[in-house]
Amino acid sequence: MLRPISFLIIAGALFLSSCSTLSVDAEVDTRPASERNYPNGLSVSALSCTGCHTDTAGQGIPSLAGRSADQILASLRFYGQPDTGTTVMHRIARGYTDEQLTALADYFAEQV
Amino acid sequence: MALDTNMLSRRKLLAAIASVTLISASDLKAFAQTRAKVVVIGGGFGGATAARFIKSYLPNTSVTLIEPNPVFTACPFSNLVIGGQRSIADQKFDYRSLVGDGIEIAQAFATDVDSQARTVTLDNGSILSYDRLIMSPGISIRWGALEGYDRAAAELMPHAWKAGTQTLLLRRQLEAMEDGGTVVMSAPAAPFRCPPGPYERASLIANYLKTEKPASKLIILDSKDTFSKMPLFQEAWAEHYPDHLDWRGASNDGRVNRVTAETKTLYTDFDEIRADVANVIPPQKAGEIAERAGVTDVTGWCPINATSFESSLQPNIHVIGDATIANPMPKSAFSANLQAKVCAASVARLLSGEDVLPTTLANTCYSFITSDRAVSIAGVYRNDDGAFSSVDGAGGISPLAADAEIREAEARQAEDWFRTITSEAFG
Repeated sequence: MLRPISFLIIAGALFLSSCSTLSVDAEVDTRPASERNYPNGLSVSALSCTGCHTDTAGQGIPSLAGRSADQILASLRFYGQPDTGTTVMHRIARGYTDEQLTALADYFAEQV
Repeated sequence: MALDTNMLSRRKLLAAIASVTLISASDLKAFAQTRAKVVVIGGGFGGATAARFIKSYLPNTSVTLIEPNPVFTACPFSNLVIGGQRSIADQKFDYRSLVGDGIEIAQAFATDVDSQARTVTLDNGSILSYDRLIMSPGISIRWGALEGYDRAAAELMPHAWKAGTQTLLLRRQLEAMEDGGTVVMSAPAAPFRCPPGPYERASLIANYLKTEKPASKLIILDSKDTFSKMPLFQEAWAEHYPDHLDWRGASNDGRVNRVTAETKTLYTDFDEIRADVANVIPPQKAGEIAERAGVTDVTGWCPINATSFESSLQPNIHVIGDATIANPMPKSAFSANLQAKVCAASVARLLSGEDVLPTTLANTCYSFITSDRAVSIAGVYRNDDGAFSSVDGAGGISPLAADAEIREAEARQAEDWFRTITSEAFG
């Protein structure tokens, strides 16, 4: 990822050398500051998950590492069903829309 | 923020470049602000996490964490130390990882905050300036709010509501007590740090008495009639500690009005109870520096904008963790850690000239009911338009009448949670 400062220096050098209009938006990191510079652009809504889930599995809480978006989404949808469950994930997943669960699944699948 | 002329001319040059490229104005602002100064007060779950995440989001920002203690002693799981299942050493975390992250540690007390000058004064005489201040001051005890309970009384009747020497004092008193003794706990009215904490502690003290001092008994005197995870605790107490634990609610004359530390006596409206070991969990308020900074209201706690975590009372100051008025989010380590991360994201956006954005937040609190069984409560929240709200249909407590396997699984999940959250906060 190109950080703003290095991008600006490169852009400045190009500007001074050619004075031509540049179109380098593919290299501009347009994400909000809170989603830049954290490993792989941590999504803010995923911050609720990382207090429990790491990239190493525990004895009671599974790691999300190495799982596909489809696998993660299937689990989240299972937890989100209205039936009474036994873990905190049943009570948490019900608080998210399917769109939000899909975004979280996509996000965590990209982390590994 | 001060920019020297060299920087200004560079900015103009960059603005010229921007006019012919696709760099947005916010990118320029982001560049200008990357050298901002952020100061964090308090090195607990909130403050340590906030410092690390600010540094991650804005690596060129100067981040200073003000914390007088070189080692942090965690409250979550400290009830297991009191119950005899865990060493206090497992509760301790230092700040070496934060130093490695490039965070400055000011090992001192913050004695004053000037929100107009944007400075923090330390007890070693230094003055730190900031662009944004994040305060995670935790709680302080309202000494004297319960008649007879002052600092000296806490040496005889420990509160153990800040982990460390108080935790060990209570543990040693329990160890020294002869079998057949009476342990008395006093639980305060809400709000207070860790709503289910007194009842987890009661469970683990009763577990200790049942196994080591079976002729002894625990009495909980409560200033409330209801409490967090109440049906789960009552079920566990009936199952595991029917002969060792007696809970008395406010409407059953449970509210403690006064204590006499020398004789370890607790007084309710109509009764006086003499204890062999007394654990008084007293009324609380935000950590003392919050009041001096002017971020507390008449309740003694800190009103905030839930989206940005900015103080409702002072500009450029953000407050997170137990000190805040964040209900329905509870005063928990999970909440403090998550609020720190979301606050860090908001501060990064503000320093970059961007608007703060609402999000969805969750909370999970595990409580041990025996040495190897636990129950939980969870909640899901939104922080739209500056206010917290619960998401309908989500959250709640563990199922009642569940098999031992389910309780044991939650205990293992609790252990994992503790490892993960302390790793996220302290490295």
